[in-house]
Amino acid sequence: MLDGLFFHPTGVIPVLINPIAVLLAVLPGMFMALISLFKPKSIKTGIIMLWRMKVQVVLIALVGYGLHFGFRTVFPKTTATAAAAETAVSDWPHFRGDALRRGWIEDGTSDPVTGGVNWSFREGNQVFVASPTLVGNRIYIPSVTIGAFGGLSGSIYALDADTGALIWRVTPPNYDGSFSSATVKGNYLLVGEGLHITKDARMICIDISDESNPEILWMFETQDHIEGTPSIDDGRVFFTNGNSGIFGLDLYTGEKLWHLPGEDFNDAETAILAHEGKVYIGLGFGRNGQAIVQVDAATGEVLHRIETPYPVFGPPAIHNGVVYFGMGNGDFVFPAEQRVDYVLDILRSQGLSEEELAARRPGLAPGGAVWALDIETMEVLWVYDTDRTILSAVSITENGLYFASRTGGVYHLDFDGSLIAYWNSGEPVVSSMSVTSDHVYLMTSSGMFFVLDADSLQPVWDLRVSSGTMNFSSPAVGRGKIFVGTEAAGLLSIGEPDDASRLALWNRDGGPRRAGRADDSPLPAFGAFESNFPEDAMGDAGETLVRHAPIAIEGTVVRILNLPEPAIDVIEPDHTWRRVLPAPVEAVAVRGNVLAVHLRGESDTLELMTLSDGAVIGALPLPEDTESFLTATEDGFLVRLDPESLSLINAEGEIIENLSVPGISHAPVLNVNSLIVLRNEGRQISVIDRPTGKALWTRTLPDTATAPPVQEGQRILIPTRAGLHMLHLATGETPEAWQGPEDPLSDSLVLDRTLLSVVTEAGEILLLDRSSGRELARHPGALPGFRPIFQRDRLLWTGPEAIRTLSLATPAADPMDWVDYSWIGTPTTAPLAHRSQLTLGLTDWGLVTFGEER
Amino acid sequence: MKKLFALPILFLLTLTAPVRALINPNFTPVQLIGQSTAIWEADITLDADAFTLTAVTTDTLKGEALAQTAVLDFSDADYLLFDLEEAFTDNQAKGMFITGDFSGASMDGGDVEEQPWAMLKIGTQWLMISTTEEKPFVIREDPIDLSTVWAGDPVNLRQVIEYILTDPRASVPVASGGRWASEEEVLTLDGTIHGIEAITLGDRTLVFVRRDEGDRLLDPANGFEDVTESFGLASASRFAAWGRFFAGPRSALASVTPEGELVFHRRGPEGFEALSTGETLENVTGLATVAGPETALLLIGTHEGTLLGHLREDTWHELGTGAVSPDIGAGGPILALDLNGDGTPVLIQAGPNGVHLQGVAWGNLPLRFAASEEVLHHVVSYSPIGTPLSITPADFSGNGYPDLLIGGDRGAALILNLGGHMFREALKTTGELSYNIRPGVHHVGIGDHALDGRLGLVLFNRQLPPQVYFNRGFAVFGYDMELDLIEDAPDAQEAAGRGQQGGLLADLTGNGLQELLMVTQEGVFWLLTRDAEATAPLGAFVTAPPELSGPVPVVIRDGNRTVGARILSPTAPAHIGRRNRGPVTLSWRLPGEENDREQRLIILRQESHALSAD
Repeated sequence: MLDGLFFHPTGVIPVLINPIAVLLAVLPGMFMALISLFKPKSIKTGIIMLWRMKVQVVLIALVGYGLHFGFRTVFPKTTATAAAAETAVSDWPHFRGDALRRGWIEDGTSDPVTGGVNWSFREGNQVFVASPTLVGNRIYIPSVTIGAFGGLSGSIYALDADTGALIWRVTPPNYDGSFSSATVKGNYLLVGEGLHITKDARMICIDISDESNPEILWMFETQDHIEGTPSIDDGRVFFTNGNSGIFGLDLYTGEKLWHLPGEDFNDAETAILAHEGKVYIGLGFGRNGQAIVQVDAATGEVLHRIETPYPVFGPPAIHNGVVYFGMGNGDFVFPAEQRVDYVLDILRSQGLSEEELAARRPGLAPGGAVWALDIETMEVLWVYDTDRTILSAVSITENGLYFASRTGGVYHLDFDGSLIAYWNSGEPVVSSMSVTSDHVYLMTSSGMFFVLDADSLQPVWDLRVSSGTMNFSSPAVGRGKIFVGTEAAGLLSIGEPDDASRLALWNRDGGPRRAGRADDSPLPAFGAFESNFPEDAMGDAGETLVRHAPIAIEGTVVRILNLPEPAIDVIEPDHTWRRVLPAPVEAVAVRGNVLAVHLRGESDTLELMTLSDGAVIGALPLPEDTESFLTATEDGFLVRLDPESLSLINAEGEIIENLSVPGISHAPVLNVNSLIVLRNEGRQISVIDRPTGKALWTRTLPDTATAPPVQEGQRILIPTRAGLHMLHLATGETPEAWQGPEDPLSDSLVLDRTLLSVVTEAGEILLLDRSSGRELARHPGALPGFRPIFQRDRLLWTGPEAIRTLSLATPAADPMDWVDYSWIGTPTTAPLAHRSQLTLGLTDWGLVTFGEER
Repeated sequence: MKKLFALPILFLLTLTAPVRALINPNFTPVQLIGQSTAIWEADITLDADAFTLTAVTTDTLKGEALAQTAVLDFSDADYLLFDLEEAFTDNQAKGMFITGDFSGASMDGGDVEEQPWAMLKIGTQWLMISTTEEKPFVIREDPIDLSTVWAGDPVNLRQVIEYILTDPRASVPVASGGRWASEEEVLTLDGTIHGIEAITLGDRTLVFVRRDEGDRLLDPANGFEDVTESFGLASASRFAAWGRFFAGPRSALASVTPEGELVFHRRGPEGFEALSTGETLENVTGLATVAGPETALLLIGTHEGTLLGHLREDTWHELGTGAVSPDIGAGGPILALDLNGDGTPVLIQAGPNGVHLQGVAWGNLPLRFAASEEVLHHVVSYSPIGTPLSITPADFSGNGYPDLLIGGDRGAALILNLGGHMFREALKTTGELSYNIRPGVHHVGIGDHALDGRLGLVLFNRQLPPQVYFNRGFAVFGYDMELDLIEDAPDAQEAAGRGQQGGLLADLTGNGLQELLMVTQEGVFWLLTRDAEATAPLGAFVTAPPELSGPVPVVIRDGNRTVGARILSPTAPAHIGRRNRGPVTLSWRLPGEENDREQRLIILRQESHALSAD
């Protein structure tokens, strides 16, 4: 989001309100100005007319106020809100939603294929290893917190799918958290309890009909864990219970209908599937494991039992009379090689002789397969062998079958078992994928999220969403978004459909709202040197090779060099180009596919070139040695072509609009109908009516502004030498509640959802409450003029020798070094966070990229 | 009566105990300390008759100690006495308490009136201390298996706690992350092979094979081509040592033949030239190079002790002998190394019951044995290991001082070097190494094979397959399941299953990763190469300056943190493995000098650097 041109993403405030609010404020003045042109008799006539129309005038004022207040109430600025529950397109009675295991709600929305993190939810250190359940506009998911001291805990949540707002939280007594996901049928939510070490897990049933009072209807206690997601069908619920077997219960009462004992059905872990009167289960390790079982849903009678060469942990999927199972050696935590002794120990404890164990050992080598069986006869129709275990469900669309292996391989098979496409993510994939008609969605166990084309399996988008090794949650796709649990980042809503009409804009280092973030990928806990550009630049002469932070936009990276010669280096998704420039770059902006560059050599020039290949499409002379205020806007590039005005130009350099703003001192904020400008060397601020060019109001600031104004909703923020000032957009007044700092501030203001940060001219980083300006923390060691970066849980800023960081949970605590670059050089640009890396300019080394410290 | 049953009960328990404890991949000490609310150290007194331990708090590392004094009762679990007693000396021991959120931790019997209070590390055991209505502190077996989190003792536990509490970047590995990419038979040599080592001659890395029937020089860069003749080397060594024994920059070989003859082999422009000393030695147990200010000296080990000498004008001169301490038994393998960074080597000899450390002093001659009252004269005892077979120096604890790993035909020992000529025998506290090490270790391959700054090791055995361990820090090891030969090198595992004649861990291919080379009892050489995708090579090989005549320790620092010491010699560069690019500082001292030298390296890729003596 750009300087002053967009509203805060969590508070949607229609553009419409602004003119009304402004109009109400300026109407009397305008009226008086108008009638002052006339004779006193006319003034008297005007006043009489107003009095006669007093009711109308008052009504207009009230409506205007009511609109403003009402919108503010319905669309508050910063707090996530919950909408009422919608009628769902479908329930979610099985793992991944249905027997096809697609993890996709076909609600008519477009597939999400771009974007970033829309919202995140996390309480404390909880981990979401379960998968989100999407029903209507609700997400249901259990959490788990794993304590180093042997403790397990957690809660079961309902969240608003669109905002992430908490609807309710249920914490059953002595709850061990869950690996099982929730299933929903009507008003009934079912979830299994516990991780593998839990020995007394419960199947929990919650009545979700009253969101203000969700109620635990019943809990059925078992003698082992319940990691497999339950399946609901025809008034019954079925689940696997580890080494305690398999259960069928009455959905409404929790009464046990049947139970298959664990001694005969070892290691039952799969997300069971109930379908048309039968139940399908896979069995894992053990003498009486490694099998596929079909059971009568009503009676629990075993109809078929088929031995398999591997333990079966993949959830079964059914389509067109065929059931599909993934299987293999290895599990979520350990690959096959590290499970050999464990499995042999189990078999030994079950009475197998050493000779029998020796015979079994070769079969424990890495390997996996997908089996297809006829659901009537349970005859094996075909087998597809893989190199590693298949822990994901086989997901099914009209295009065929999709599944992933522990090597990270993603397979697309036809219904006859023939391979259509294959792709490898390079990292283990142990969770299930979501598949739509056009795309495949998956997350690796390290927290890398991929979207693939469903036909070719080629990546169309990727985003790092988490870190660690326990990212086991399977995504859910619906409402144009992706929902997924993570190990380190909570429950996330990510992505959005590609909006071809949306114009990509970039100014300076992204602007105060983007705050140095090109995307929402999380930075690692600590950074370490990855690379530098130019690669051979490693001198020690103190030269400034780069003066501008890199630009990362829509898959394109733009790097601007100052030395040894001015140049632009662009990395597009499928090609690169480089162009030597005739003069050093003073400013740069991007609008769609156009790159605008203010060059300052013997004269000043604005060059417009295409981002895809650097072809020059327009050029304009600029006033010499003055700031151009080059800004990319929705309407065009805003630039000062002469000292008295600003011009809006198109991609070819043609002037679309001229705005007369004499004495402007900083880049303005351009709205649809207004312009916010600083004038008189930054001592005055004005809001100008764009159509007429008239100042709606002007205020004198206590001291010189040190940065352009920033608009957020109805407020304007201005860093000055006398502190951070906030003025109301409509009136130019500062609310009494504003407690902004009074230090001289540098041009470094950044905005986050509820926080602000800025660096003082004395080199202190300030963390402020966004609504009141109240200081929350202050630390030394920040470089003035270098914009800090907000991440979800911390703030990072540029110091002379290191990028420093503090936790937003404990902002007053001593900051730490995120990465030390004292051995490289001193900063010459603000940093940019992109694809989980941080890049900034350092003397002699150019643009230096820091990635994850290993 | 309780004691009568303790032993058989404990024996039965031992039968059911795991052969090795798996490392918990989801929890390291970082999570444990991070989630703890209090950590405190205590002096523990054992009262075996009353089945109690009395803990008196001596230091608090985090939060507040829950009790200044606590009497812990294990009368309900008296079988624990057997293991507990091992941790005590004169009924005294150190213990470390850690407490945190135990909610959800299951207790035996599910007695809700018994609440966990803290975990206690004493010796190599973890115990749970809980409170009951009847007794304030009751000892239980550890139900949350913290040995999979950290399996050392309170001493190295304290070290790792302090590391974690003071370094926000602290990490403790659960695996090396490595994989073998290939296994290959590279050649076969008949005869009796006494060992193999990687050496650098000029700019070439070669493999030197000690062999009764004639030593061999093999070139790994050319398919292990036998280049012995092209180097003109005509030696046959039962024992050997490399160093700059002659004036000049070239390394030479000191050799004791199977007949006991001491011969030096000088390397000239045309190749090696043998120089017989005319000395015939008996009962030789080893040769070791001693770094001297001008040239290297040679230490010769015998059953009776050590003999020190050097070459002057191509003539062998004996400088003195040192009798082995009777406390260690008959003398065995030897080593000479500066153990505390003062520029003076210590002469080390291993015996069945301990190591004998003798100091020397620089005098009118380059080196002489000093009177015992002048310098160190030290014995570090260990449990009998039988005939000692190998002594290997390496800084396993990462404190900058080389430790010693001794293998014997009936056991092994690890001597931790605490600095200032203080040492501690510590094999029992080395985690999975202590569980799994077997007798018969006669060669040890040392290397930072995980490229994380910690030295791992490969144990080569006369009768058993090799074992690979990664270092979790502070000399606590994990069995390296990823580099276990049975996973990705099953043929080599099978071939070497009956023991090896020798082995080494070194970068033979120049790719920055440590390969494993071993020779089976049948004389077959197996080369195992590493998967560079699993472990991206990053680091530096540091070569010796021309002034260095023998081995010296080089201490690596990363900022304020000591990474550890590496042994640098003229024929063996020091390897610095890194996970992250950036600068390191090396400090080292030439023999006889009073001040350290420092050199800064910026490591951005795998490459070689020369240490400069300027």
